[in-house]
Amino acid sequence: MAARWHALTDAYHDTPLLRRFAVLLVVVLAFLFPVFMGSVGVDDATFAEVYVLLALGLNIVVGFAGLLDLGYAAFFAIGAYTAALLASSHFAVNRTSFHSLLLTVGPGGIHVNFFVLIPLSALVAAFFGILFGAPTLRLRGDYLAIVTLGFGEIVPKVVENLGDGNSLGLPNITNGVNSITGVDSPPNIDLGPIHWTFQTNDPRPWYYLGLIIVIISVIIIYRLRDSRLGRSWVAIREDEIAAAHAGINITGTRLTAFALGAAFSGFGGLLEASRLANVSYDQFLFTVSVTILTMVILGGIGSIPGVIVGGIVIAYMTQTWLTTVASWVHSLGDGLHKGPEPVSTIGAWLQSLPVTSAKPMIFGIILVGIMLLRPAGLWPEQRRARELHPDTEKTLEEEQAELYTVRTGEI
Amino acid sequence: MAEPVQPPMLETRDLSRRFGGLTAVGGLNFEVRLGEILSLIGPNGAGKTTVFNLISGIYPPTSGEILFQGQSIGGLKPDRVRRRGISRTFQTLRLFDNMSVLENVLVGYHSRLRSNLIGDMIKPPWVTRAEHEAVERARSTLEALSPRLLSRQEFRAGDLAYADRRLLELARALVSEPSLLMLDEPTAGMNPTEAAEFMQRINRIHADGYTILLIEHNLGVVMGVSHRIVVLDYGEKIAEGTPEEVRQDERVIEAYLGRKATAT
Repeated sequence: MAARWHALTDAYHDTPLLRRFAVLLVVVLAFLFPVFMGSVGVDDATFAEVYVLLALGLNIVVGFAGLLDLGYAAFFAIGAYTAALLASSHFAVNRTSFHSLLLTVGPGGIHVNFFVLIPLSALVAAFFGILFGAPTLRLRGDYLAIVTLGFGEIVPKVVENLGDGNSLGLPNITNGVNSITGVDSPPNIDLGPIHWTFQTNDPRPWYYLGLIIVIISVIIIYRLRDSRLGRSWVAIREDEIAAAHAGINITGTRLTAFALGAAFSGFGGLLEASRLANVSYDQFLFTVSVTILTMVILGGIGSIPGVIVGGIVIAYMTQTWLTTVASWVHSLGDGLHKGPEPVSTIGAWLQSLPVTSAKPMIFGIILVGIMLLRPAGLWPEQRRARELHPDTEKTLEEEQAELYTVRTGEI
Repeated sequence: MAEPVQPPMLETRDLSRRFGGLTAVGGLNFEVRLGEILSLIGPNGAGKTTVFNLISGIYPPTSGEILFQGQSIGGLKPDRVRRRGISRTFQTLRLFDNMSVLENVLVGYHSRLRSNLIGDMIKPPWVTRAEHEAVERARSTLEALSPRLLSRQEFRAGDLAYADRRLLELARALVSEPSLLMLDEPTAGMNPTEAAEFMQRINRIHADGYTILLIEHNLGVVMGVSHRIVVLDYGEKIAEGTPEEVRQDERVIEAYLGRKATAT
């Protein structure tokens, strides 16, 4: 099965026509998705979109630039809090009042238009990316991982402690443990046949909005990957000294990766904050960083389609599939319980199993299984696939050709 | 042959580098003149590669100066040195093994490609055009060195035969048309035929107008190709001159050639 899958991804990479058709098909299906799904399904899909955005961003840092970031949720938090603070009633301004299409300030709080927040949240997250990255990106490998782990711990802690009556004597900035509620929804959109009203009872507009942001992000990330900058990231990952001698500014290039990665999590944070209308520090703890990293690794580190697949699979697994599996076990127990004596005992045992609390264990087993079967990820990047599986038929042929020219001494 | 009236392309003044108690390079003065091939030779541990590392910016000098085209470059980071126009290869090959042959050369062109973040994201026509030009550049550099390498432009660099990998590293250093090309034992690990072929290529590159600073162990190769030779021993210059002069220098024979004089 693994070989067949390989053949499939190879065909995808080698035939541009097939690739275009496949991409078109996926995009069309993604747009039609809400037509076939109920609102719960669409809501789950929107959740997956947020995580796909995060995984795409982290992939720039970990996959392209090769920097292990264990505190990526910090930037997710910064993006979400940027949206929450600038588009809610949290900061009431009593002295002046100002109203316009893009910005409203007054006793009802600061309300920046959602479409202004899209670039703004990315910029703020990128700014913090640079702020955290500048002093630390000289570190490498494990050392950098530990420092980023620290960021991931510090940011939620700071948010938690900058609420009302904080010990620093600062004004209430983040509302602390009480979280920020009533985050604005995007303004309603009325464009020809499109009528999007962003309400909590209809997830479809959110889904489409998220989809558009994901598509634009994917296009930008592809272009970055194939640019001078993208090449520099790979070169640094491959051999730092040789890269520096080729004229690449190591620290600057790494910093760009860090800032860009942060920027995409800013999009994710904004989408999540306005979708849930509620932002709390405990949405951004270490588990979130690890979950996003798992998406990147399980999907295929460095591979854009892989990371998208990884993001969708993990988001669905944590959100719905595990609950479904749990209910399967219980309904199986129900069924068996009706049977004759030995079977009914098993049924009773299955019924009494604490499947819900065993969800993390099931999750872990599935992850281990996938990584054993596909160590390079569900959809590996070609470069890394070649690295991990050098003895495919293609490389064998090439090596034999090589041997031949060496023997004959032909130049 | 070298013309003494030309100003030096590269000059070191009392260049020293100490590692702890060890003086790898001590008070070294030498110059590379425009358009010449200068070879740096010496026994193992004489400090040749240290000199290269100092010039290319891997570590700063402990004391002394490095002047390139009249400007001090001592202590600059490698990427800055490269942008001034010095490129180098490594004694132990340092290719980007998992990148394609073409990509390796394109990375070498990095310092000549102007682009910025927004340009890379939006890809306006001028960025695309510059990128196309870079690819053309990289291809013609590969072709000039070895048509076979060009026909393998999509190969993974790590999959190439050894001599081809050496050539690829040379292509990566050449593509940005450096003012000074530094080669650290380019024929190391090659058989005599390959080495001779490689040196022919070096001669051709020199004929294109490049100034070359060469470290070489293979004395036959050095004598044949260099205009001048600087001999190092224990981090100090013990002789300097044309191959003929160096060959007859007593200190050189004692320190280095003595063991091999009959062989050359």
